[in-house]
Amino acid sequence: MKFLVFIIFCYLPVSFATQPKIADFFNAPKIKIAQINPSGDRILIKLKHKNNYLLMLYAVKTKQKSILFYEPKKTEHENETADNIIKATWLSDNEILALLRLDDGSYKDYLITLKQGEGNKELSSFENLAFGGHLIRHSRFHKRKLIVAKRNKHGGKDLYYVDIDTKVTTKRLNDNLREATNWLLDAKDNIKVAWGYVDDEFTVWYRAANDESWDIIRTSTDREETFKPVLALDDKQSFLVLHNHDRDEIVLQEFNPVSKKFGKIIFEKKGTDIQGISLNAGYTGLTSAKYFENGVLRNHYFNENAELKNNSLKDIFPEQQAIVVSENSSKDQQIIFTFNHENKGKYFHLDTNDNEHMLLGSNNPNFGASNSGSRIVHHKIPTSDGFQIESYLTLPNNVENPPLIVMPHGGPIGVQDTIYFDPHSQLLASRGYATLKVNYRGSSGYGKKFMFAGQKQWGLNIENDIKNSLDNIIKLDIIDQSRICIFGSSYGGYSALMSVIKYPNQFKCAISFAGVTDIPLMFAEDTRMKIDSYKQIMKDIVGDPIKDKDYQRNNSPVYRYKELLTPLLLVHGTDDSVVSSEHTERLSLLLSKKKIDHEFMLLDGVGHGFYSGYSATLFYNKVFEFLDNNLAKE
Amino acid sequence: MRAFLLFITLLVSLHSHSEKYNKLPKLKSNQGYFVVSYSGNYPPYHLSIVSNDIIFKSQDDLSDFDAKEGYRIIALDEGEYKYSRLKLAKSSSYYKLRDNEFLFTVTAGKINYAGDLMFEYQHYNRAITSSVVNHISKTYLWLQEHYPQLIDKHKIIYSGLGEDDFMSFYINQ
Repeated sequence: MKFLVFIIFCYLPVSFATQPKIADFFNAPKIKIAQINPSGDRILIKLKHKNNYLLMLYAVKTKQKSILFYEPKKTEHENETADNIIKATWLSDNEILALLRLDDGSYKDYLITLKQGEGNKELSSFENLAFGGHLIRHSRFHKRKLIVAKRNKHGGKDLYYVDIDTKVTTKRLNDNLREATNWLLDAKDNIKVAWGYVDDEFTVWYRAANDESWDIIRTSTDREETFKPVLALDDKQSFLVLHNHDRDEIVLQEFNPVSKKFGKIIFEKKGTDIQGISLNAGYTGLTSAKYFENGVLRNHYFNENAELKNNSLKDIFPEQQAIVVSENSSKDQQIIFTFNHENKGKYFHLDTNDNEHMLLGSNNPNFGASNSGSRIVHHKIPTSDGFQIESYLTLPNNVENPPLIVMPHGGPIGVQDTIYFDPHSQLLASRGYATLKVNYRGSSGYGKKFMFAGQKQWGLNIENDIKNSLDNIIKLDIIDQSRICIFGSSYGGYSALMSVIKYPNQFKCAISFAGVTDIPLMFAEDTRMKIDSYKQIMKDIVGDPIKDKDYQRNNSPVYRYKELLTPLLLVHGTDDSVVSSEHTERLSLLLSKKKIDHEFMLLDGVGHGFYSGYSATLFYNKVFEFLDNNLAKE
Repeated sequence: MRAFLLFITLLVSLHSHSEKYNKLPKLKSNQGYFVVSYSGNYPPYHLSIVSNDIIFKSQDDLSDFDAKEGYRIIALDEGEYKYSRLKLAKSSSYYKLRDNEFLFTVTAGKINYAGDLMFEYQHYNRAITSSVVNHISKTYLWLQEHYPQLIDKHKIIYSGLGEDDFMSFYINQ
């Protein structure tokens, strides 16, 4: 008996300490905002405390902390977070603008003014700005003005100045153009370019100066086309745009609104879309263009100094992506956000004078001292029709030949997996499972030909791409090929079900969360189908419900339920407004009628994903039980 | 003793089902049943159904519709209908639903289901959004539990926006 007690005591610390909690992977982040003030002596932090957020100030020199706002609210369950601080940003050294949610559910903007009280105690006063719109940004030209957007009756948004001191709202900055929803402002707050939809037609407007009228310079109904103005060039009558007009990948190029012609290509990268740009501190010039390469976010720098600064960050934070999220006026005090495949996000205060840095907070699960970590293996395979399919294999360290979970992403059109922190992959890695994520045809980031090649390929080439990627991984002999399960959410859930129908001998089990099971149902699911543009997009993606009825039924798990003989776990949230729980309920109804073995779980109050540790824990407790039963070593 | 108790429970349950079934309106030859189904976080106080050619059918006024219960079965003449007027609270005025927002058809002799009406209160803008979501499987299971005689005698069909013949596929399996 003594021996048994000794064994239990030896075993307990190991078994409990090595497993981070499920909820930790999905809980709201510890820090949501970290911003330094213009003089660089105080940091504004939105920090999670128990089940709520608080707004606090951290004095850099004295390390003194003071709470600015904390009004805790009760949550229904443990591992849920109530968040009543929506935005917070410095306006000046002693002023903060905060958008708060009140008890009655309404939102209000407050100007928080700071004063030093006795003993350097921070005193603050709150004043409701009541400008009745949402803040776009602090004006870069008029220090005491905010730029605010308000929805109008024409389906667009109007922009206004709000004077911080007088609280007076000025006349519309967009003048008589009311249909636009997006605006490109130059450094002096002039609006030269605007865009939005008019009756489902993408429209771009331009004016050379504030006193000139708006002209339509571009219209398009081509859903495959991207045209996103990103920078108004002050010295030229042109602007920079991210676009893929008459080309496959998105490039960064000049566009002349007078001649309506594209000019010089500023940056392009074959085989990949340019995802975005970063601007200099004055917002007047380009610093870098961003794109993904092998699942890693890369920057192409246009400015040598910016590249040197980035290289310096790489030295300070090795093996991490590090970005400056806030800096003071003299740019020597910075807030750095770091992330990678294992790191959900950490905030640091960096003093660039001596590169001394201090961790402000980490959003990571508590892995404990025994965290064994994970590594990513990047893979690329050609398809017979000329595409390249990228995939990312996450391998738990210190596990020989782990079982594998294939995880097709949702979408399927316009979604992209990367190597960065994914709570599902990292949780599964912490439990000894490898995961494979595949950017099958239909994924974004590789050009429009690749993305739209996924249309009407449900159950066909998309699943072939996933299977071919899996076959290639199996050849590497680093996972246990006798223990493979497939698990996905939304389209990924559909893909899991169709994959076990198509390849019944490949997978030991399948898990569908919020999965589509019945393609024809998508056209009779809810009142979204009353919107013509939505219906047309759905027809493009899965075919016409009448003309393509056979294709839709032949590729719907519901109508092929008799082939679902692999162990199944079907889970759906009752509050899912993207894919109705009807999809999973009807599949379970059929399987039950024919006594086909499966597990079915409805998660009360859960939507189309997991936004709290509470619901994720309910789900994953079931998933791990299911995986233990079906992927145990024989 | 245990068997006896089970027998009594079964008897009570059968009696309760029969009683509920007998309370349903009897169908005329040109009529079908229609399941009014509601889910959401804001139960409406009053709902009205109108036919396309008749302005207001007072006999189909659902003023006593208990949204908390979720379902109500009524008899309607074969034809096209829409949910018309909606009163969200006793003290509020009627809210006219947008044209054709909740259009459905009724086929004689069938149990017609056109989707769950959903009214959700959005805290952020203090507005109520309305939609119809197809939950025919859940409705079928509810009918099977509460009105087994009804589901035995009449076929349930989807008669709302779009086409959904899943139930006939299911029944034929």
